[in-house]
Amino acid sequence: MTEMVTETSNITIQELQPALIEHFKKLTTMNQLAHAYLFAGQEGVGKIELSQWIAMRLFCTADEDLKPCGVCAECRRILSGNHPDVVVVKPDGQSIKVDQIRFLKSEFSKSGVEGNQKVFIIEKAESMTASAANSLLKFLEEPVGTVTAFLLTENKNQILPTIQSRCQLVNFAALSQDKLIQSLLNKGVLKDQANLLVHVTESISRAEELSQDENFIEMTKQVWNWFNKLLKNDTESFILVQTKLVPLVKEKNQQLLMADLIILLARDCLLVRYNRKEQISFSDRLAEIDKVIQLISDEKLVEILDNCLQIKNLLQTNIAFQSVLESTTLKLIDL
Amino acid sequence: MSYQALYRVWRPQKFSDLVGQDMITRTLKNAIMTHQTSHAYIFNGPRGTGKTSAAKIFAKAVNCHFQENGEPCNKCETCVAITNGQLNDVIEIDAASNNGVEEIRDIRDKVKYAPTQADFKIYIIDEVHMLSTGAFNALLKTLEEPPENVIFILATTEPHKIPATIISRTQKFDFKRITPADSYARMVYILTEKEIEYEEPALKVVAKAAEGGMRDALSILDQVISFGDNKVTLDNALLVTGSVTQDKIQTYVTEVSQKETTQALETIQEIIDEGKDSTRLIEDLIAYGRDLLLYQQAPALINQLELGMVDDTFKTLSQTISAEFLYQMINILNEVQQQMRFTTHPDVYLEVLTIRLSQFSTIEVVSDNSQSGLNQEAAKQINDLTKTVETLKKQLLNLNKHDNQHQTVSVAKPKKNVTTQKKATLNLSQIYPILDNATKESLVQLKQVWPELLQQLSVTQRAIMQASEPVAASPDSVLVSFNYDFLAAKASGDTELLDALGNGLDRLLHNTPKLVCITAEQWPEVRKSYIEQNGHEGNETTIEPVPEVVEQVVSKAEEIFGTENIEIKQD
Ligand SMILES: [Zn+2]
Ligand SMILES: [Zn+2]
Repeated sequence: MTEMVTETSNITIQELQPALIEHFKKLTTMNQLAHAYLFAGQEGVGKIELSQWIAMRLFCTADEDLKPCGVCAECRRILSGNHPDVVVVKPDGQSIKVDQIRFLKSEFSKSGVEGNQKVFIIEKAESMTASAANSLLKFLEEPVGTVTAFLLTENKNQILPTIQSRCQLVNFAALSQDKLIQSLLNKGVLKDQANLLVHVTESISRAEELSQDENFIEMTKQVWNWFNKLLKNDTESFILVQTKLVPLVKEKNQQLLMADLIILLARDCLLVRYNRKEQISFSDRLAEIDKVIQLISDEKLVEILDNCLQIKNLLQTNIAFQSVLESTTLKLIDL
Repeated sequence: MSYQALYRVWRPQKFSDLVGQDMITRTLKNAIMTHQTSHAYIFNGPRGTGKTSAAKIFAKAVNCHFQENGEPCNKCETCVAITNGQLNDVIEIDAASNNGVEEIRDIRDKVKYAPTQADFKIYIIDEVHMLSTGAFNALLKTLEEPPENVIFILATTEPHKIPATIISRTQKFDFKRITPADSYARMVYILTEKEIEYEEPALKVVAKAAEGGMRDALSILDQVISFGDNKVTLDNALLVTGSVTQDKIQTYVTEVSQKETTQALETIQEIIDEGKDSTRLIEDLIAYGRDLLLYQQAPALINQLELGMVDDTFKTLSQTISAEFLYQMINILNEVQQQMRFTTHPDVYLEVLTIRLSQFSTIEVVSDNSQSGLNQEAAKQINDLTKTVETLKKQLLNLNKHDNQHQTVSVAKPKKNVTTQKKATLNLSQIYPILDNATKESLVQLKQVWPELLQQLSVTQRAIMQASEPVAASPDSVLVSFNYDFLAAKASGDTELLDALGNGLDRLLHNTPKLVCITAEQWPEVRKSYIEQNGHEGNETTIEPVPEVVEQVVSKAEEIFGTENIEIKQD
């Protein structure tokens, strides 16, 4: 029997979320699936895999031990996203548009034969535009035929409350960091790097990818360099934004990644200050962090972290990355 | 057959089933009994408080020939058809997916025809605030000359988006959040009917997590049942809602209030490791702080209110923690809650929160008083800043004497002498007249349309205006505060943007107030100087923000006990 594999690593969804698999095994067996679920949890915790697993449970023709086989025609069509009754909606560009939801609704009402099981999966449901979300509302409340909906999100706070209250919420517990670090060590990632990577992503495959990404390695180095200068009130930090940091981030997701690194550094400073050294992410910089924060007050450290957290909010507003980093530098540096 | 959600199975069929809306149901029943129903109603209220259910019950009751005391019989043909959504004369429209002019015009055309099966034709328009402007206009035409035997029920969660012209032609009902006690009682009723065992604390956790929505409560309950083999256990309730136990909350609050930062960080780490829901945690902390505050003022209230959560630790904390700490704690929690909406790293925010909560009283002292352990450089900065403020004050005084002279004062902070950054300049002769004529009404109005106004801008324009908000307004001008001074400078110099804002306001308010920009940093100072110098008591209140926490506590108390019985003392 082939176990279903998440992403490119070899952790199965059964290992990743054993409690949820048991739960849904029971529900599917007893025909007690609710009509709409909101799966909330960070990247890599198995949201898409679990929704596919449930879909396969409903359609698999060679179901064994209350588990889908993963290899029959039905299962394979689900896994490859080609099953006519299992429709997956993903953001078209930045958002999921109202037309996509309208299309989804028409798909389901067209062949909405009574008793005909259908599944729809909405990835990154938080990216639905207001009109898309509102258009989904009624459909969630009074679906046609037997429909099971899975809305997947990394941030359920951005999901319209009226949608939340029509779904059963399933919180995917974050994977324990020890577990993640151990898997990375097993794959030959260095300890310090693993410490950092588990704070950047919860997906093992993504972490592995980053550990070999030259650009990412350079980014961690330059971000530290900039931050260190900033903490020392060195005006060169302002120049570094343009000369060293900005050239490393061409795409939006690289910008977000860099923002994460900055936030983590600011957080590390506070953790070191309050004796939580074992939790820091830039563990290779521990001695340097310890030294540079000696001259900085508690309040200033909090202010720094506050401002670093703002970076991500500002990026949401489409202000140029360079302006955001430069203004943050100016705010924090004491001239 | 897939599983039928509790909230669908147990949808109220009579007004008496409707939880926590006694005033509304009484009024509606009276209207039905005395045949004095209106042509149009607005049912406004948060999600899951029974608006749509009430609308359907109403539709049945006015049409049921066997209605008794304003309640439908739920047995006759008409009642059953309405319950099943099969009566042609009761038309449900989802404005969210049918928000165009066409759909509403269609109503206008058909509304003329008399009902075919029932006495009254009833239009229930859900999420009515989603209608387009054109559609609202079409609807207005219908409401202006309502046909006989037609009743409109407009349900909404966002009434401020409905044009005043529509609201004035309707009777409006405000549905309240369901209190934990009410939703607890309803859950007990349903579980008893279904013969499902339950642990009482589990229902308390569910009632709290539902935050005033009955539908939310039943959705959560559904899931707790499904996790527990037809038994509602506390463990599963905590699991499903991502809540932490009250013990943990109390440990945490004790630690931060005693400034045990390292300890508190460890507690928060434990909570994160258990995979708890950070949003839930923040909400629970806010609720806990609010309950402590309320308990300090009126212990009797809290006993009724919070389903017996008052234990020894709670009592001790209410005696040892000052009200001031609690107010500040809730403010910080509110702030972090806002910031967390856009993050995928809630754990970092929880750590920041912990540090801020266990540190803020120290920080307060520092900003008021320069003696406390500051290094020399910082002391010098404060000194510089004080000097600038002094100069500024003198200039303000001067300006006040020659009121009509245009004078520009620059308030660059001394520590940021970087020339690459454009500084916003203050034109006080523009600002003071606004403050002189500021009204609360103008400000409230602007604040309401602000988000919609920004939506109408281009992407770049919106980027500039994103971190802005109106802070004071007179009927013809508005003072807008920006979080970043470079954005304030940019905005005041961008005529295209100012035009776009003017046009947008004209569309939304039929008024084009003049915009004056200021930074969030400058605003408190300007406001203070203005009040000091003008002694403007009359207008002070219109530009004075009400502390949010106090409002929350008061509104929570009001929700439960009505406005008459509440008096909050602030010291
Ligand atoms: Zn199969
Ligand atoms: Zn009847």
